Amino acid sequence: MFWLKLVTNFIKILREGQTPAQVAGGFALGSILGLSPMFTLQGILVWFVILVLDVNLSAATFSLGVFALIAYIFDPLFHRLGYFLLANIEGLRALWTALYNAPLAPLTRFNNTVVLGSFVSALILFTPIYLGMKKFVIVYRATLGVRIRKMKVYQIIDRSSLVQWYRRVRDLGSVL
Amino acid sequence: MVQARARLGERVMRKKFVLFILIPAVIVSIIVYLFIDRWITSGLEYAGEQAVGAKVEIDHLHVSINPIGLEFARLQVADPGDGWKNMFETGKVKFALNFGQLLRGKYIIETMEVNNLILGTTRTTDGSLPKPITPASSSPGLTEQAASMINSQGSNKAASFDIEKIKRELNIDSILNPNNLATYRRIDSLKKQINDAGVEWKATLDEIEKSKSRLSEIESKAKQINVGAIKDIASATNALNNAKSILNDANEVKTSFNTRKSVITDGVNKFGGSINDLDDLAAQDFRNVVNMARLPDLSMNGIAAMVLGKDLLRKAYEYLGYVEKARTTIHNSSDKPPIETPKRLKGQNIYFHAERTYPKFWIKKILISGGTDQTNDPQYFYAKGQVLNISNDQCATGMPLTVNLMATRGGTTTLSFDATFDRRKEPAVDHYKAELTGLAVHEMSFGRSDFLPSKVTSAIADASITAVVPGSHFDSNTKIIIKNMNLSFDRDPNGLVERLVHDVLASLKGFTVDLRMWRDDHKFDVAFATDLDDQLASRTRQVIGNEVAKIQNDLRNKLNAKIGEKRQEVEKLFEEKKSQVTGRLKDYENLLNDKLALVEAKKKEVEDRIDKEKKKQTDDLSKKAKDALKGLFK
Repeated sequence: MFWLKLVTNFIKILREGQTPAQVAGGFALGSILGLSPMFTLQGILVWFVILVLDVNLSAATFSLGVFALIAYIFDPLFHRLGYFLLANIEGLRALWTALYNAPLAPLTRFNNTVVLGSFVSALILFTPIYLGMKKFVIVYRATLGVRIRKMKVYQIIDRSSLVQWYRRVRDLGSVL
Repeated sequence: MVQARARLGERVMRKKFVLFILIPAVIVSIIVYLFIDRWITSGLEYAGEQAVGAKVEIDHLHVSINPIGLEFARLQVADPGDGWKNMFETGKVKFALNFGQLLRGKYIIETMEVNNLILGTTRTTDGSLPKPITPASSSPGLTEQAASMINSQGSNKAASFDIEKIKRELNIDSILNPNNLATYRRIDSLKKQINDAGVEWKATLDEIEKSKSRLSEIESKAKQINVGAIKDIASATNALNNAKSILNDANEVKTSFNTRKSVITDGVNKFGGSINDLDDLAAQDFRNVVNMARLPDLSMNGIAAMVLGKDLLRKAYEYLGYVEKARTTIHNSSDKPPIETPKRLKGQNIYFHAERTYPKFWIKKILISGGTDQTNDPQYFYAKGQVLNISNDQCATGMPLTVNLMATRGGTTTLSFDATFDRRKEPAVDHYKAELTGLAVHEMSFGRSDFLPSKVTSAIADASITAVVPGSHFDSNTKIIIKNMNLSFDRDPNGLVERLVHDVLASLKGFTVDLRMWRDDHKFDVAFATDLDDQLASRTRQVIGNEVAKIQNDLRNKLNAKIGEKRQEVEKLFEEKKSQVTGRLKDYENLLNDKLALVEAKKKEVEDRIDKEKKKQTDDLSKKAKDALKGLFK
């Protein structure tokens, strides 16, 4: 039910409410959390940024779920990238050694291949995801949303008993 | 301007964001505060169980904030070999972590005190865990090699000491079957090789024979040089050049002959050497034959192994398991480890150490003390000691892991144990030294089921053990002194030798054993030495030594006769081929030398003729000059 509500909220905010930048910001920040392991210092920092900045929380949470799945699929790739950065580039060795022996930096677990590989990937993808999502929200609100709502598949799902039931449950409090 | 900035701030920052941070932070803090003790307990127990292979239980763990550290009331580590016993358990343990290093993600503990340590306590629940499936190792470890050695010793049939039975059952014809004799096989192989070589030698000699016509040609050419016909220097020079040319031809034939001769001579010498080597092979055959005859081993090793039984060895091999575990468990980090294939989302940690920095994990000192209650237990046990420098990277600490323990039991048994595990450079080196005195032995089996089964019912043992484990090698020396020994025999002695050993053992009150176990590269070996051997071996030799020697001599004579007969065949063949070859070679060599001498003589003759002609002309010239001078001065 949580995921259903999350998806509904996400579709809702695509249509109205917060600005495209807020939605895209939440989505892009959520992608960082989803791609890289959360229980690290940088994970906490990203959560902090999401909570402080006025970005869309539903978009962030939805993005976290989607990108966590992507991270699981691409884990071997992140591992190889992390190993390459940590072990194969001699020029970076001094930086890693200094960070490893500095306060707090080891709490980021940067010396783990998957943590570093996925975090670097997330940082590289951050801007394209942000810009892409922003553009998508604008287009969705202008034209795409109307077209989708007119699609037969959408209407079938919309009229389905599960969605009707969900709506009844959702609106129960407001009717009362 | 200020209003615009405020609007921008409102748009970017979340309204009442403090609540967004504060509320989750408080919730997380409460959860952490409530559950951190349980989480850390579970984490430590899990890590311990992975390392030990049996249950690890921690009671009443508490995390303190200032100073940041841990304490727990009791730690029980079950024995992986016996789930109903603890390997050890402790009383209260308390330690503090270095906060500065904790911020760097490093766990540095200056001193950890472990009080009331007790070994081998009984458990109320089973502490064993399902054995993990480990992939088969390509090279067997120390314990596997030791176990296979015990099994192979056990599977060997004991040598019989019943001389009459040995004589009755000894089937010399079967033992001396040619299939069992390497010398026989070697002689057959040599015969074939000599025959093959004979064919080759004959072909070579035929080639040599062909050059006889060339020698005749050389001879006739040499004879054609008529020294008497030389009248002047020019004809003399021509004759000399001709003689030299003929000599070159002759030398060419000689060089070719010498090359072929040396090939044949080398072959002959090689076979001569191989025939001489048959003596060594025959000696080896004799040893094999004696083994097959299963004559009693009168050397001290055989008797010592039988009398001391497997218990002592088995106990020693058990401790090898711990040595092996320490060798494989304590390892060092590598600067650039090879890429692994970790589980999904786990990744691989790469460590970046620098000089004068802390490793990831370092307990500088653990003080250990404990024992049983001295007032209630007359056989009270007390141990104390320290473990220094447990770390994940000895290169960073610059210190090896060191263990020093002292223990006493009942005021009579003392144990001191010192060990170092050095992983600072390759190969890793482990050192062990243990001294045990006054250990009461209540039951130790002696003999074997088929040879004087017996057991020590009471004795006092002192032991001194040193072991060095450099890399995959291993070398240990153990000295055991058994004193105040009382033996009980499971049955009456059977046969002569058992009776002898029974008498010797019954009068003994103690003995010493030196046991060395070592492994070089891939071979594991054990050596015994005991003063018990001298007594037993001398008594055994006195009685059965002569009989055994007689059987051995009989075997030796029959073997020598059999091998001698076969050897004659190859020697005869070899001599036949050798004489054929050497005779023909000699004949040809004589012929060649004759022709060579003829050519050289002709050359010398020409040279002499030239000298003579030169002298004659010089004399004529000087005479003419003198005559001319005389004419001038007249």
